[in-house]
Amino acid sequence: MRARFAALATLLLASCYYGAPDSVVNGALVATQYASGVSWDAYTTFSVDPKVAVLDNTGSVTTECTVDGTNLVTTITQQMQARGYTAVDWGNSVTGPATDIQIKMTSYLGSVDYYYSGYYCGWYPYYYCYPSWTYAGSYSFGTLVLDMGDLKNATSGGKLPLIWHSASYGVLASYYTGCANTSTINWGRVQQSIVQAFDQSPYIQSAP
Amino acid sequence: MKNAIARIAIASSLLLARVALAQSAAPPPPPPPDSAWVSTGSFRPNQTLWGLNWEISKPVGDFDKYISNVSYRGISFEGRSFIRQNLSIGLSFSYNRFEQTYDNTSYSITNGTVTGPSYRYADMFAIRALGHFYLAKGKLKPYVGAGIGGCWDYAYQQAANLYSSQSNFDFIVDPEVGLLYVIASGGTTMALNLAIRYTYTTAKTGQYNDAQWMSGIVGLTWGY
Repeated sequence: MRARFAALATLLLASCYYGAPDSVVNGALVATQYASGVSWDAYTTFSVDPKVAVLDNTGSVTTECTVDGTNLVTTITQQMQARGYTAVDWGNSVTGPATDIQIKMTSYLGSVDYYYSGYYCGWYPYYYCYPSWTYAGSYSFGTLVLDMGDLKNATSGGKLPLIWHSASYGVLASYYTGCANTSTINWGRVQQSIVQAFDQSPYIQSAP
Repeated sequence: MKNAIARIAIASSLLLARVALAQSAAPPPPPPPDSAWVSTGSFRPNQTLWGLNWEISKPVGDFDKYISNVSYRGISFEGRSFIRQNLSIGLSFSYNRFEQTYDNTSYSITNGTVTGPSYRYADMFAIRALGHFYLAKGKLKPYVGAGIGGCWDYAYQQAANLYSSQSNFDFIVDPEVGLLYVIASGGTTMALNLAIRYTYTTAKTGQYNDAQWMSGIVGLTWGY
């Protein structure tokens, strides 16, 4: 009798279980935001830094490194050119060429701090905040961030105004083992997220 | 001794005579009132019904944009008390769970968009005052009715490791049409309850207001 009751209770509890499936928790999520008041048709040229800055927080100490993102530059360039902008090669310089727009890539690994609204937005001029969203659980995968800076309207010695920002969550999946080993990145997944970021930002459009 | 026996005999005769007189003078017993529930050979009017229902629900309106899946997780418990032959009032408690996973959805955020797989659900706990009008007597009793009350609702959305939720106590009203089919009668009567109900709430789910759904209801009702 007890065994039957236990089995029934287990069944009832199992039927009440709910939660996001793995496909959602570990799925790629692409978020984009733009700065208010930007005249996208005022820009004509852009360049993309081929170096991806990596902040690896999977261990006890945050480490930083740089990986080559040339293949991502190709994807970004295709998207920007399709919107009427002219690409300029970044070259070997650190600061890049004097184009209207500069795009930089950053990867965050293992850290959920990036998601806490009011923290990252507080000190960094991202417009990317989720005031009504909250951290929901374990998340150990990487995020690729694209920042689009307005070099055309930047003031000397000041911060580079950000006019667009995208974050692709979960695209640097678990097989990306951080700065120690960047050879297993699924670049196709990352590139797909970049295309999605531009697809959902139709306002990025140069003057015809 | 003979005297005592004679006294008892006289008293008994008088008592029997009074009883006989009372019986002959009493009006005939009133006919049984028409049952509000069901008339059977062994008549017993049922004044109260208790029901347990399974609810299959489909979101409609904006709620359908939030979750479009049919919900099979719905249950309600209700009590109806007849105040007239064809009119009952009562109380109902219900729970409905709506749930769906999307492969790819887009959300608007301030100056931007978020796209990705997402998971959503909504729980609705309602307590309602009920009123039902019965259109016929007998084994088949079609009825129309409505409930009105409050609904505690909780809506949850998750994408990757982010979630948001909304929770509130809102207004609920739900007209319904149904049918009671008596499948057993006697001291306790049991009937099958079939109904279609439209539910309107002021619940907010995600970015959508006023959650609404249609429900098909199958249940059992006991009458006492």
